[in-house]
Amino acid sequence: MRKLFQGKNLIVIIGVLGAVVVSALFVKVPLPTILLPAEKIPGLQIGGFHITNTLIATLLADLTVLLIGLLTVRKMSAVPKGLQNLAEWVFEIFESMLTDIGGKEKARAWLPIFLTILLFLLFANWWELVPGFDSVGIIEPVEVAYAQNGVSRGYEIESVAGIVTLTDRQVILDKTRQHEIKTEFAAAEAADEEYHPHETSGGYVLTPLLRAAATDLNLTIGLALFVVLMSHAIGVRKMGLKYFRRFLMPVITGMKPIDFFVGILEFISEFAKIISLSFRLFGNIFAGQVLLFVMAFLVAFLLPLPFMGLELFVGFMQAFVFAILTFIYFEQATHSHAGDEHH
Amino acid sequence: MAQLGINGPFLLAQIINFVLLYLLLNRFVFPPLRKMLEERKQRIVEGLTAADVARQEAEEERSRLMAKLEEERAEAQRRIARASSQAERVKIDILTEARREAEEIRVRARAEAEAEKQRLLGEAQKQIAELALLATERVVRHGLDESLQKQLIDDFLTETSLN
Repeated sequence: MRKLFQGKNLIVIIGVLGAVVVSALFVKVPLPTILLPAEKIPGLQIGGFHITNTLIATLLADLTVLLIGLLTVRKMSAVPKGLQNLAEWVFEIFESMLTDIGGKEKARAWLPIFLTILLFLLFANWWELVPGFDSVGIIEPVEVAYAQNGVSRGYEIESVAGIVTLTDRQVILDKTRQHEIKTEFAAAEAADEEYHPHETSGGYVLTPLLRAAATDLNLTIGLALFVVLMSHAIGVRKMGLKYFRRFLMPVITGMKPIDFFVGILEFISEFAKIISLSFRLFGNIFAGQVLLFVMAFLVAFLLPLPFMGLELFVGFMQAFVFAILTFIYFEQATHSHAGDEHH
Repeated sequence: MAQLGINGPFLLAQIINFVLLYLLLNRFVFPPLRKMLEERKQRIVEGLTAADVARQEAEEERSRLMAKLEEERAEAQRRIARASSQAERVKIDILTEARREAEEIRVRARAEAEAEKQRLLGEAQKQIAELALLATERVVRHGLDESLQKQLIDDFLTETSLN
């Protein structure tokens, strides 16, 4: 510890601090456009479908998981090493955890879906931390971006070493111009031709090619819907139509009005599950993304680092929470609420 | 909903995406992994059982050998005891024999010494008699004054004591 401020260490420390000061003073990072809906990537559409950057990120995460999975099982040996070791460790640690919660049989049955959700969300969330995510994309006039995605604030552009980049000089579309663009765009849409603004303000917007997959509500709600529907399917498969008795006059207290009310609560809670699953994931990852944007905007170097570490943790935690809740919902669906029938 | 960016086709696309991923993983990744783990578990169980059996066998072998060793040690003990009692007997025999011989030698030596003593005594008596005769002769030849007598006796005594 005493040697921390000596020799090479000192040079490195001074260098880093210098870079931080220089970046704070001279490197102006434009605040990225923060949009709730995923941006459609201009010019990329399949069958009349505008592909969004989160969809690409989703596919990227899918591919990552698949690739790692296939690499793991491609060369397996009885004496594990490397990736196989890690995969087996993950497999066993979560299997034993699920066994603790739901018993051996259920753990065995639902471990695959648990791991799929966990790994998919984990990589989807961690991809966000890779340089280029949210920062490499297509630069287009703010007018086009406004028409497509509703972005009204653009930046002037300049070319640095052959790479076109945004500067921190803002160009903001005012209300009347926004209105004009809307009507022009609607006309172009109606005529089924590509929209070109008749005049440009010199402001540009970067539409990133990749954006953290879980910052798209379509993903989180889709996943939550799937999970909750699956849990109902599991319940019906286990108990037949009796499963729905938990919503209609369950026998819990034996007092009819209270049980009727419990049934309603139970019904509402199914929707609450969807909302809480999807918005928890979305909110955490979206907030993390905005946090990283703002930190990089304030001081480009060093400052975002601890927050990246935080996001690493949040990314894992959210993936884990989603997966474990899935397991718990599945598990709950197999229990009869009118438990006193059996006892 | 559009404000939040929620839109039907994308939602569906995401669900299908996920289901595909699940199906692929569940077909190509998880089963081999589980199979590998279970095979290893099986092998470990087998190995442990085999080790147990081997240990038991070794234990049995060891106790068998220990019994054999014990037996042999007892046998050796017995042999040593036998040998030492034999040796004791031999020792006693030798000792008695030796004592007997020693006694014999002593008896013989004593007898020989006695004979020698008798012989020497006889010889001495003969000499004394001769000397007495000689002395008497001398005294008679010189006459006998008193001083001479005394001297003669002294001489005689000196001579006899010298011899």
